[in-house]
Amino acid sequence: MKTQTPVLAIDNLTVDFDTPDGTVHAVKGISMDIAPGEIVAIVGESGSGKSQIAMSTLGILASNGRASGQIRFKGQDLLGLSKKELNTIRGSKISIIFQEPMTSLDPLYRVGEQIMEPLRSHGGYSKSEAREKALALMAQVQIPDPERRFKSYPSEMSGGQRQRIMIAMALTNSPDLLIADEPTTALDVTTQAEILKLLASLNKELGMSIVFITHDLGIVEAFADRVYVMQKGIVKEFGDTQQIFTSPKTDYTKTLLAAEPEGAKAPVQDSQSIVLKAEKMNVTYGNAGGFLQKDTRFHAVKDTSLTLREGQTIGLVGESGSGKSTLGRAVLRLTKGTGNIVYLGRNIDGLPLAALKPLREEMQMVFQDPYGSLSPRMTVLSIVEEGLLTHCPEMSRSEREALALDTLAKVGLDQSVRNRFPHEFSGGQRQRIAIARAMVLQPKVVVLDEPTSALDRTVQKEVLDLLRSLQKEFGLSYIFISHDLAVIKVMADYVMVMRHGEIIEEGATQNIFERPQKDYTKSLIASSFNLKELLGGRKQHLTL
Amino acid sequence: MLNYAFKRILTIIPTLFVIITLTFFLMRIAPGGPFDEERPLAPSVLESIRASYGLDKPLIEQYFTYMGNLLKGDLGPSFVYRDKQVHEVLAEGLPISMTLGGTALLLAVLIGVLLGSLAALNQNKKTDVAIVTFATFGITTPNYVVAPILTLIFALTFSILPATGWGSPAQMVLPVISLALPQIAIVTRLMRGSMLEALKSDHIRTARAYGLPTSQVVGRHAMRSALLPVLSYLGPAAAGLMTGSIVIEQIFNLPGIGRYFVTSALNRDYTMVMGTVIIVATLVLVFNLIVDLLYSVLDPRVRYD
Repeated sequence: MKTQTPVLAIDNLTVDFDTPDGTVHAVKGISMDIAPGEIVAIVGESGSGKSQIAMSTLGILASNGRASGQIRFKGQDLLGLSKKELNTIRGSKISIIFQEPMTSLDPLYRVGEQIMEPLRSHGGYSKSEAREKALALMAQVQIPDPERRFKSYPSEMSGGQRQRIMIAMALTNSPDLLIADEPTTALDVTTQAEILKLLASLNKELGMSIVFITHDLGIVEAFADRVYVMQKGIVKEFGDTQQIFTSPKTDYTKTLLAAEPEGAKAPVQDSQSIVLKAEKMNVTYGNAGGFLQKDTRFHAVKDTSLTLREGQTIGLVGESGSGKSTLGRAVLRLTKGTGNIVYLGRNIDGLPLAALKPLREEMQMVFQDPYGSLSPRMTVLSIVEEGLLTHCPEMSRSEREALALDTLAKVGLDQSVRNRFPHEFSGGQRQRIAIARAMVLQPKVVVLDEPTSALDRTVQKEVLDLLRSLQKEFGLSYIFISHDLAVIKVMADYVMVMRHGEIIEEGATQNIFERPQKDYTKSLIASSFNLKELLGGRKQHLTL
Repeated sequence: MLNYAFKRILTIIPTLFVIITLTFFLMRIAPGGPFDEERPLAPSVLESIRASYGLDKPLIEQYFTYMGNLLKGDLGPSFVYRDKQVHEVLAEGLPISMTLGGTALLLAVLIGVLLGSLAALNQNKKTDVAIVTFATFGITTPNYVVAPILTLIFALTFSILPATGWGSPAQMVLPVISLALPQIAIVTRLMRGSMLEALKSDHIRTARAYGLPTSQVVGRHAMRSALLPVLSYLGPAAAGLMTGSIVIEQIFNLPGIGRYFVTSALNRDYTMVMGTVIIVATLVLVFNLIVDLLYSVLDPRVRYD
């Protein structure tokens, strides 16, 4: 493989950003090369500079960014090219797909027109030829009924279909190189598996090289021929995928590999008291319609029931839109729904919200986005002690502060952070603050809504360990909502699989993961844990 | 969408009805009347004038008479311009005001969109600074300052353009510019902001990454998103421009309808006030409808079904 001229050869690339706080060195002199037909993964956590390599290659760095060094595409240095010269290469010989297919497509144009654009401007296609070709590409990326979908707008498609449209756009001029920047991160696992399958088959059929930028090692192992591991703007380690996974050389790679969630939660005994019991929960959004109004009702949760015992963790899994977050909120009565909710023997579904307030102390919630759910204008200390002000008004100021600081210490944050603001922290630290805010009230039930989904794996591991130790120490009961089966598998002792607002399967964690009954559960598990088999055949390619 | 447009047109009717009714009674609550003059008329004379206009009848009866006539398209006689009907007065002035306003609006959109886009594309460069300075000037300088200065330069000093009057295209130039300048400035600022926003969006990054020519990236993709906020502003602005401006009409001696808004209210010329209110309300409602419909054409995510 080394004897072939590389499609892309990056030599000593540096990317700097001028910011008001000085120059940020995002990429610090990295080199890499990609052979024809090869799939190369660039792995790293957020802020490692991996995406900036893609942006530099295509000349789409943010306006305050500067790239230096060399990026040679088939011998031609892209960094030295004018915009016009670059336009003959990007979109035709090198193309890219992005993480968020919703915002990466223009919401105001039909998807078919958007696929036609690169054809028209690079391939010299006439309008009708471009249309034909676009339809053929849509068929190639397995969009059902291309003729009809051609006229759709991005907002009318699902995430997976939008990403297929992006891929069709990328294929328009049969590129030599496809850069995929976290192309499946925003997608559900089953959709992710389909998209990866599609990319693998395109790589095989068209012989197109792929640079795959991701933080997800599971995908890398199943999908890539070679791997570059990046940290803080430098390449820590690179080599064949198998070699990296079986015998990593650097500590950082080892940490990354060890960061996959592990452990298991022992089931709770049936003798444990029931903390929260919800029966026949129903939640409907939207209006019933009427004069000049459309019926917009959407049944988000249908007739679901759950029983949470002391010390138990119920894992609520399902893809986006399955109603899992809505159910989590509805059982705490944070969302209006119908159904019977009993908390510690007390019926709370009929309680007026004011009467519910004293109970809120014991029922807490932690949200996915730790940045959006912390007030940006409050200090850490005031965020954590705010709940105490409401629920324990009899506490003195010093008692309150002491308790808040003590809780911060429990979640692993030093006292010295008390006067700092949320934006001064990393994602993982912010999630610790959010957890401290919930824990300071000594709750009995905590609904964790995708608490680690926005975090890097290594940080995720720390947060999961923290949640575990808090559960043990205080006998907490969790409802753990996640789309990530790997996390649910190690955190929950009971799993409920949700789809279209209904629980389609539930049971002890081990049973669900080892003997799933429903096809849907099986496909979820396969997409999460057996990507390698699903993508089958990649490894043979590697041995060529 | 036709269905939606039809429904919206239907809702204009009750809205107008409410506006007309409210104005009718509010106007009568205001103290004074159309025939109060500095030297009061003899009570018997006043009585007979009031009787001849039907003002001696109970208010509710007057209201129904007015509404009945209105349905027939009769806006009644003016109380101040005694030998004229309201619709005659308005029919003389409205076309002039609409021509002026329409031209100013067109200029505002064309120049504003162009300048705003140019500024955004050259953010923080000299072009941008120059355009923003111009826009700030345009917004902060009132047209009763701009108009005389323009007259002084172009009419009095260089005698290129006529200073006043109505009839020839040359006479339109100065009033249109005075009227358009603040609007150009506002549209420029709006457009600059929304264009900057649009240029930062992910789909523009995609268009660039796919090597589309800049003309297409900006003209086709960024422009369409950036126009949406500008469009929202244009509805009410259009109605305002079309109904004339008393300041501009006074300075350039134009026979538009702008002046009636002020004079008729001050003179308690009840029927004339009603006539102007009906025109403004109708224009506002119609332009808002047009904007909403255009919005759904530009943005397919907005659907009215």
